[in-house]
This record gives sequence, C-alpha cells and structure tokens, in this order.
Amino acid sequence: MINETSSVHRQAWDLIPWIVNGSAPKSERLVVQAHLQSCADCRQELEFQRHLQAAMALQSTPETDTGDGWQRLRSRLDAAGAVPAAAAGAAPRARAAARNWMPWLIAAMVLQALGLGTLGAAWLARPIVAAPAAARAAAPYRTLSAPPALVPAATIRVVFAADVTLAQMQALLTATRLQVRSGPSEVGVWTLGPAADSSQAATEAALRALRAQSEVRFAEAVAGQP
Amino acid sequence: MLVAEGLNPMSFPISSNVPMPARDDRLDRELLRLIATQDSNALQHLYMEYHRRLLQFLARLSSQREALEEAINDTFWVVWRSAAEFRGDSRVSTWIMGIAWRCALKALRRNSDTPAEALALSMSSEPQLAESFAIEERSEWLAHGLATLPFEQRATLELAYFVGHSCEEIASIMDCPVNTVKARMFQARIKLRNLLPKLGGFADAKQLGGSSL
Repeated sequence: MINETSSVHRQAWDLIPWIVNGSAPKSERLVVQAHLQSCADCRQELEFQRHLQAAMALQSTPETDTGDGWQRLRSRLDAAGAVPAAAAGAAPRARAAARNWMPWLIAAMVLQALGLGTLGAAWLARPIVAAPAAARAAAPYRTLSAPPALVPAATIRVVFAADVTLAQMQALLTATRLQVRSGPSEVGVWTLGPAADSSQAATEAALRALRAQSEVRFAEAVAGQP
Repeated sequence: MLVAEGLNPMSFPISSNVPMPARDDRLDRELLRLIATQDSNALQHLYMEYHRRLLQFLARLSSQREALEEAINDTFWVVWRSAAEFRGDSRVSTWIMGIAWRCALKALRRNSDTPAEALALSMSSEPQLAESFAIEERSEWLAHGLATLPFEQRATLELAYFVGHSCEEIASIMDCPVNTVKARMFQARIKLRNLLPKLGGFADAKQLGGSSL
C-alpha cells in the first residue's frame, strides 16, 4: 500500500485514527467513507485501529486520588502571596458571576456523573473530593456559592452520585440527621435540612459527613439566615 | 478481496468510544475567567475537575507518581498565573493539557535523564503468540507493544485514543507541527501493526495481517 501512489489513499489512511476517535470533521469522514468502498487495506486498517482503541480503553488505568494535592497547591499559592486576602470568600464581582454560572455548572456536574457511569461503578463511586475531613474542615470546598435569599436556616444542597441507591440515601440522611426539604431539582440537586438540631455546628458536622461519602458528588451549605 | 465479513463500508459507525469524557468548554471558560479575577475557589473547582483527568493520562506514560503529582500542581500554578492570557483559540481542556504536558516533561526530566527513561510501564511478560486471546493476555500484549513505542509516539496515541483529542489539538498540546503529529501517529501505527498483527483480529485473527503495510 505504501507503494500505491494514490494521494486519496494516503489521505484516507492518515485520517483513520481521527475517524476512530470521532474528532474528524464531516468532510474528512466523507472522504474516508467514499474511499473505503474500494480499498480493502483501509477497511482493514480501520478495523485494526478500532480494535486498538478498544483494547487501550480496556487497559487498566492507574488509580487516582486527589489526595492532599489541592492543599499543597493552596499552601504554595499562600506562601507566594498569590491569593488576595479577600479571595477566601471570593471577590464580590466573582461571587456575582459565580451565581450566574451555578445552575449550569451543577447541570454539567450531573451530566458528567452520568457519563462516568459507563466507565464503571468503581470509578464513579470515588469521591470527587478526597481530602481528609480535617483538611476540608479547615478549608471547606466552597466553589458553588448559593444565593442567600429565600432559604431557611441550616439548609444544605447535595448532588448525589448517579448510581446512588435509595437505601444508601436513607442511610446517609439517618447518619447525618438530615431530612429532605425538596428535590431533586431538574439538575438533580436535593435540598436538605436538619431533622432536629439546626445549630451551625450541627450543620457543619453534617456537611463534613456528607462530603466524606463517595455517594455525594457535591454538598454545600446554603448561606442562610441564622 | 479481503473484506471482513459483516463490515459494510457504507455504514461504518462514526461514533467514538474514547474513555475520557469530553469537557464542557463553556464551563471551563467561565471557570478560567473567574480564575483570572484571582478567584481561588474557581481554581479549586478546576483542580478537582481536572486532577483525575490529567493524572490518568500521565500515569499511562510514566509510573513516577510523585513526579506526575508535582507536574499537576505545577500545571495549576501556571493556570493560576496565566489564566488571563488564555486567548480562547482552543478548548480550555486542550490548553490545560498542553501546560500539563510541558510540566510533566520537566518533572520527569528532573527525575531522570530523559522522558524515555521515565517510561516505566510494567511489562510482566514477553508477547504471547498463542492463538487464544484472553483479555488479560491481550492487555499484556498491548502493554508490551505500547511500551516499545518512543515516548512521543506513545503520548500521541494516548492523547488520540484515550483522551480523544484531534490531530490539531495534539499539535497544540505537544507544541509541534500538525505534520509531526501525523508522522508520529503513522510510525506508531506501523509499529503496532507489525508487533501486534492479531490485535485487530481477535474476533477472527485470519482476517488481518495480510496488509502490505
């Protein structure tokens, strides 16, 4: 095939990996598709590359764990004086922007969770934040700041993993002494509140407990009234 | 004519099965815009979202976990410092992968003489030429075949087939001409076909291996 002079053949052969991984534009897909009708070599090569990709996907992927990586980076930023003092709560302008992107940010997280389902429950079930609870308590993960108005005190919003079972949810709620206030929303967000103790300390404890669970993709206390 | 039975060239599926889920670029751009305003919460969010993605890709190229973790933190250090300079002419995921690639090369070089020497994937056995192809066997075979590729060729293949980047995106990530990506892919394909002729035919090995490539 190398000694074939057809430039179309060579072009099609070069395009095959990008057909296989789905990144080739339509015009290129059409070129390859047309060429495949008359070229057994390219048909074989397409099959070979498909098998190669499938086999690569099946290869065991090393376990990953966010671990204390973020804490180390945060320390590095702090040490370099790279984070403005006000950044702990985010600048007002950024906070306002965060409110704007929060709905579809959550939607994206849920979609991603659904997508991950195809890669196996074990991978999916891994906690998105794997830092020790103590570290998290010291520097809570507060990317999604929620609107403070119109919510009762001690409200927590949660996105569960896509494969969470009802039994798991019930066990979690019992353990954290929380009740469902509403949900799930269109994007899969549950609103929870305390079953009994609505103190700030109890809310924070429940939040820490939720975040330590692999079934919880995201948990955030809503900045409510005291 | 060597036509695999059941393969209709007119209807070959074009859907891909890339293991790595594609990122939502609108979300990434918004996060990057916030990071450019020095919003460390946005940086943390991006970190949490990308850590696994980057480490899973890099860990397929090197077993030096400590160097890779160092590279990932270097990557987000660079993202923090240069988010405002993102020109928006590529997807954010491509931009971040490019930074991670450069940081990984540096970190691996710090820990060994060359990236190729850092490539220490486990090769538990020589290729088995047995007719039967258990999944484990095939996986060992493939691991061996991939490990024989030069570092850049292996990275090109993983970026295409594991992460799902286009040829142009890989050129941007590896900071090389598109033709270099094509050449690396070409070489990797030839080598793997010669090393693993039965890989493509584990369903029916006799249908493959007859190519003049």
